Amino acid sequence: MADFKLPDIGEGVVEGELIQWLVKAGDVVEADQPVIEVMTDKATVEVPIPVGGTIKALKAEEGDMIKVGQVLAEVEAGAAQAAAPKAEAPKAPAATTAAPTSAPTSAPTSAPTSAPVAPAPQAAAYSGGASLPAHDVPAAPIVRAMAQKSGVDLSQVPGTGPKVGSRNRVLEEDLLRYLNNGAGAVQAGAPSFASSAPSSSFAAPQAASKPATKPVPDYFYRDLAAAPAAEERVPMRGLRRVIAQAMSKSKFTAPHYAYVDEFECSELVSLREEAKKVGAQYGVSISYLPFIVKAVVGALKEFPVVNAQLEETEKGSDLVYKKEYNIGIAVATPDGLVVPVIKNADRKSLLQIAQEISELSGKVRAGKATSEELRGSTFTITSMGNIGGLFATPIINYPEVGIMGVYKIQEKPLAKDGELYVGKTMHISFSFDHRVVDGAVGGYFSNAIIERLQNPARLLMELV
Amino acid sequence: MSQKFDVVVIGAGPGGYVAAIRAAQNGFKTAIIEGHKMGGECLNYGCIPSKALISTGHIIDRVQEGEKYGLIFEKFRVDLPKLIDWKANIVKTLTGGIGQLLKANGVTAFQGTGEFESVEADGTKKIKVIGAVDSYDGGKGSGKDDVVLADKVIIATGSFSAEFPNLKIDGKSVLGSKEALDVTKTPKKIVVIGGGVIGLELGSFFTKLGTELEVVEFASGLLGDTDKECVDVVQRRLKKKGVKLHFETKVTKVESKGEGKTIVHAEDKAGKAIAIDCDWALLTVGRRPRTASLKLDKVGVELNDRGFIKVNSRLETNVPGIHAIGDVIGGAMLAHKASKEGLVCVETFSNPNVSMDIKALPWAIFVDPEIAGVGHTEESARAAGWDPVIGKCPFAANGRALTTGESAGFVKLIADKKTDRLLGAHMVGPEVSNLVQEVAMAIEMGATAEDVARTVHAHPTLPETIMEAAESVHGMAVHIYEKKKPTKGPAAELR
Repeated sequence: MADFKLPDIGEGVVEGELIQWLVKAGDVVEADQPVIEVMTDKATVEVPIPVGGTIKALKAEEGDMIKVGQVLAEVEAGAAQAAAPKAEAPKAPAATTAAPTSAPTSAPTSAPTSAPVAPAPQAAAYSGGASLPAHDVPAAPIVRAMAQKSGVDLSQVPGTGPKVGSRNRVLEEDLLRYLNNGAGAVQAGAPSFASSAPSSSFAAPQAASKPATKPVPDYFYRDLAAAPAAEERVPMRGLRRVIAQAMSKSKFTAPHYAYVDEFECSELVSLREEAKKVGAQYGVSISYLPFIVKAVVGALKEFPVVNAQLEETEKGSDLVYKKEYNIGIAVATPDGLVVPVIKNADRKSLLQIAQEISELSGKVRAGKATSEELRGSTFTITSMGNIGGLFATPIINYPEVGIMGVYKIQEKPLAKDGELYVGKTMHISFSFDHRVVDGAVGGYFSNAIIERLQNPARLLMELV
Repeated sequence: MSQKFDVVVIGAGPGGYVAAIRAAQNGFKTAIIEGHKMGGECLNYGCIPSKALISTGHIIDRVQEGEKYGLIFEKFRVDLPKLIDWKANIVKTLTGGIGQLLKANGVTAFQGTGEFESVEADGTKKIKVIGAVDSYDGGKGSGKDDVVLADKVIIATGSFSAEFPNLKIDGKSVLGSKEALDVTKTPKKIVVIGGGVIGLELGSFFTKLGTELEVVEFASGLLGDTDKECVDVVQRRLKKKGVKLHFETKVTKVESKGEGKTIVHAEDKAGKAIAIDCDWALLTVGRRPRTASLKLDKVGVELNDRGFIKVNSRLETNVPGIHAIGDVIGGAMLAHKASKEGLVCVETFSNPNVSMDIKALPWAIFVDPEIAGVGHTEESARAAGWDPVIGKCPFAANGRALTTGESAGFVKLIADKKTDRLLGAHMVGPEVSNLVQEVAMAIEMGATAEDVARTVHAHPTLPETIMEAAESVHGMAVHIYEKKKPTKGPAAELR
């Protein structure tokens, strides 16, 4: 019997979310056959198993956060055997119908033996009777009903009730805590009888044992079937969870400030019209983004602090100036926001950047981007041009120190030298980490970008 | 003109009527179809009437041994027709109560036999209620046929007494449980064919009336796979009362020689023929699912190889929207199992995650003395991966048992050695049908033997035996001398 552990799946990745098992217990697998889908950062990768054999047991559940080196499955290596017979569905109590004078299904006599070896999986075959398998989780009937109705597997819920063997009884509050945290781990500081075990049944629980909020799992006898549910509770999983964690981390770590400006971009519009024709010859559609990327790179070179990152060290913190200009482009996908990265944007042509943007965003929307394509950005651009709005105050793609929002271009009456005329304008906005980028620097940085976009000649002069 | 319902329940036994009331409570427009009598087998011909007679049987016993307690009855006699009347009144009260409960909850009741007609394109089930003619067992219909439409159907048609080609219930020489409950003339001698629960319960009752009893059983012991130690106590008492038991014996023929003159022909393992003269024979060889009247082939509901309706743990048949509960799906044929399935079945309508989830299904056999149990036996616990240990307390060590004059039997608890989890209980003795519930509760709660041992039990009461048996799991019972060395329980250091 060998353990299948989560292998090192790429540069620096230490953990990921187990999105999907591609095999189940009993399956026979070949070496290098993909067996799990793991989401790291925001890319989903299929991880192959190094040796072939029979999967004996799965040790992690879909939705679990798994770490490199963690045991995910037990595998019996070697010759592929036919899938072992699984625990059968509860057998009908033995009956001796053949015998004329026996009592085939005389009820009570059948009850004691009807306990099956394994718990019936959801909607498994059923032939009547109770079940108390050795891996049963001790919990009161109402807690079990709540878990069942919430679709929670009680064996995944850490119990804090009195110990029964090596296992703590799962209490109502344990389940509520679990539901509140998505499929979260035991909260630090959650009251646990485990440490003071064994059996301090009547010990007063610590003060903080009450769950903060009580969700409303539908566990009362009456299901109030006719009444529409007032809410639906869905555990936050996958990309949404990653985004939530990243956004909280950024907003709670970096003191954000916003900076907004508007500039005339009539010349940029004309330039892009011309560029489109060129791009068409290469089969590449040219948006405004490649120009903006180039303008940003120019400005970053002028203000290296905006291309820097703050890193906590033992002695305090270091400002790490990045020498690569990797520009993240925020892309909306059906599952949520993903940020593919244009690596070394300073060394690529406008055409290359345009092509890369369209390729990467296509891959991201199809969920096919690799982990490598989603990491390493040093500054991020988010475009809301096709949505509308005046401007937004984006959240920094931490640990970067700045993010730029670009918005729709529109015709406006403008004035120059006392004369009114119609021109094209665009809003841009920035959020900066004030720990690193002061207000003045942010403003100058914005000006540096505007200077390049307003006056494409300036932009072109910098091209390599 | 056909009426459309959210839920239509076919069969108003302890599974069906409970499901119908719960469905109505949950806001479903509900109907119930019953071809015979409200309450089904349990209320009309099973649990309730038999227990009325059996309880009276206990009183007869006590009266007859009254001298022991200083009670002298000089002109004691049993008026069987009056007893049967009293029993009938209890049944009437209860079945009438069910009709009222259904009505009060807004459940529409149809009198007649329900049979499937079709499943419409939109999933609606069309059911015919045959009320113009009498249903099975002479059940009276409403006088006209109806058609009801249903979004969801719950089949709860239960089961009926099994017969064999050479052994049919004729109501004269061969009686079923239903017929035996209405006997008004005390028989001199009867033969019970099939030493299972129903046969022994009813057979024992007749012995209280002075009837001679012989039991013919094909297997090698009574009561199927019920805990052997428990069965032994009952078997000893039967023998003491002069009951003759024939094991590994097969009935070949029942011969009728006129009113009250019946000969049961049988053959033992060695092939030796036996002939037993009796008033009549009681045929209790199990029960079969009642599916024929449903016309299941019209909608394609599948049966298993033993004729029970196939369901999954959500009590769903293979046809969407058709569900089944109770005896008709097999498993333990117990009223409370059917009721529980009825409740769960209705719950599944509102929540896709709900399925059957019971750890403990208690049961009781009303023989003399009673046998009851819940959960694992030692063997089944071991098979399920536990490491079972036993704790036992005899009723002879219980003060209350002695004061009631009934101290035979014991309580046996099965717990897991490592975790101390309570896994099961098997008991024989006074009132054990009422005692078993404490253990059922404990098992459902995931309690340990020590939890039960540490719970104060009132004195002097019979449940103290459960506490002592729980203590005995650890070798720590007080009122039994513990020869075995106390084992360390989870809370050993607290001792």
